[in-house]
Amino acid sequence: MAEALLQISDLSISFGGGAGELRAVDRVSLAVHRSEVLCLVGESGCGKTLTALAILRLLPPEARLGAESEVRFGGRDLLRLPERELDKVRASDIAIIFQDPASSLNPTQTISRQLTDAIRQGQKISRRKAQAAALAALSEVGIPSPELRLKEYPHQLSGGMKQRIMIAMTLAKQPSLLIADEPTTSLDVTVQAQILHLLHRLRREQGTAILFITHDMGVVAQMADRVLVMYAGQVVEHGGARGVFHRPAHPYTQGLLRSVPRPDRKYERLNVIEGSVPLPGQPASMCRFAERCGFCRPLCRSAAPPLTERDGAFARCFRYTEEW
Amino acid sequence: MEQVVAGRQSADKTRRRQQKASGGFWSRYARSKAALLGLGVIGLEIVVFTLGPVLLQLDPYTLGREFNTPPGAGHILGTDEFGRDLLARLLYGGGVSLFIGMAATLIGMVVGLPLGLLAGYYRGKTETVVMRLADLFLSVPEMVLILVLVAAFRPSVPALTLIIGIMSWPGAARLIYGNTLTVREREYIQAARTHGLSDLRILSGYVVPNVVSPLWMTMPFHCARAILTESALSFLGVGVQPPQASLGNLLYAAQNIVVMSSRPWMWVPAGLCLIATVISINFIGEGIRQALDIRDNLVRP
Repeated sequence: MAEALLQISDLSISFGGGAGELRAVDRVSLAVHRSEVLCLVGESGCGKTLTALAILRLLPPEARLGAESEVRFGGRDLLRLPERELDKVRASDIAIIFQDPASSLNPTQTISRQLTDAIRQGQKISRRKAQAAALAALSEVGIPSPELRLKEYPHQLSGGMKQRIMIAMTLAKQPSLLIADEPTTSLDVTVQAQILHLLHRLRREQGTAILFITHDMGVVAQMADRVLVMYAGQVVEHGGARGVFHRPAHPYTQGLLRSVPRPDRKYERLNVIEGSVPLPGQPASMCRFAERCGFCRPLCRSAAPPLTERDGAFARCFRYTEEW
Repeated sequence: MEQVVAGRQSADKTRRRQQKASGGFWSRYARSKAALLGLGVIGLEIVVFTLGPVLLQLDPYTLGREFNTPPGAGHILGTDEFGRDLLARLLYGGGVSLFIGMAATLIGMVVGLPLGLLAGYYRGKTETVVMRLADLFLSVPEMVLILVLVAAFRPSVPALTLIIGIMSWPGAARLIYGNTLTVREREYIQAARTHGLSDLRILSGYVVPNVVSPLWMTMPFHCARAILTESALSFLGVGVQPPQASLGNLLYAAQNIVVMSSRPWMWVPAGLCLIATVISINFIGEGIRQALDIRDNLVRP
């Protein structure tokens, strides 16, 4: 396979030091290829967002990166790039949109000003040209009467509108990678569908690769080429979207899929994964899902399972190893 | 029946309030009569203090031959013990006091705003140095420090303005610092960073507009305080030096028991003018606060 657009290897992020060290992300490796959509799935607190933030070095200052962590993009390690070089990457190559569009826009400036700021950061063009580009981007994302919207302030717009503006900002930059951190969670279903549609088009027309972070399996089914499931700071399963949906390997993924409501099966109780996520401080020498797993054996409590291949996909479970 | 009417009336009232609340800054400011009065008084003072002496051809420095005359036809507010016209001195002095108050406030803001901003945005060493310095300033009794500084630099209007102004920077810096601390964690700051915007652009376009509004409401209060400080210093004889006049050194005359008890025209007008000025400025501040305060402008259904 050709070289990946983005290659994260052994990314570890921890908080606090010494004995109280909490490892929030534990040796995560992943690759995003050109114009593909990789969905990062997992419940709250499993480290999805931290992973995404680490790519552009947007982590809070108290977070510490593991020494062997590496984020390769375009042949360079973003984690060790000088700040000015990194600003260039941020300005034109990688874009990120956040969960809450309402708080991602500056309340005291017009949409026009914010859009042109972002555009002019990526390409050195005149204010007037940037304005035209902003207008084009707004109509591109399907905002009615964009000339009027440009003059407005964020509080005058609806949530879906604001998220479209965030997408318009990235559209105008024509980045090769878009990181979307739960971009539809705070929107209602209709708007959510429109936004997903828009992202699809972005990928199709500009060839943008998308790292899509979500906990909504329905969204994953619509968007993903490949899926990566995280649990308690680790990758527990990854593979093609079709494979993961039809033959989930890891017991956690299986549980996740069974807890999605399905309109074709009526009057069925939804599955619940018993128990809760272990604290990040727990011993590394056991399977992190052991406490909640129906297949758990003594082996699972005595050693940490490796990421094991199974039909071209990978799962972190002993069931696919020879020890089982 | 009456209840229905009362209900309709209160609905009308709410609607009217809503219309007002939805208006701009000015219409919200104008809701307070005291704020309008304050603005009127200060506006009038500015006009009278600047144009008055020129139009009336008054001279606050010429020594006349009539000493200690009570208010009358020749001198509307009388004369002082050197025969100088007290109306002229009141107008000049009022101008000087008002100028010191406003200029000092501006200086305090110009110094305090960037310092508070940098301390809050960059944290770390900048934060420690700036904010501990502010604490240091705040822990020294202001009056004593100003007295020492004034004694060291010889009192003059520019020196006094500068000293009073600089002494007020910690207030502005702390206010801006506190707000910057919360704003820097907002997502739109992070979003701006993801577009690769420089710190200068982020500070000027994204942080400053979101932190300054509380400063507008404290400015008038700072101004009133500065005027009072100037008056106190001048009253003690270390402020604005005669023959130049200010509201404070006009009051200086009242230190003499004879003047205090038997020649009220020498100090009462200056005192009244000082009180009116300070109260009016405070009204303005309160008006701005109400106009900017979201809680007061919430439109309840």
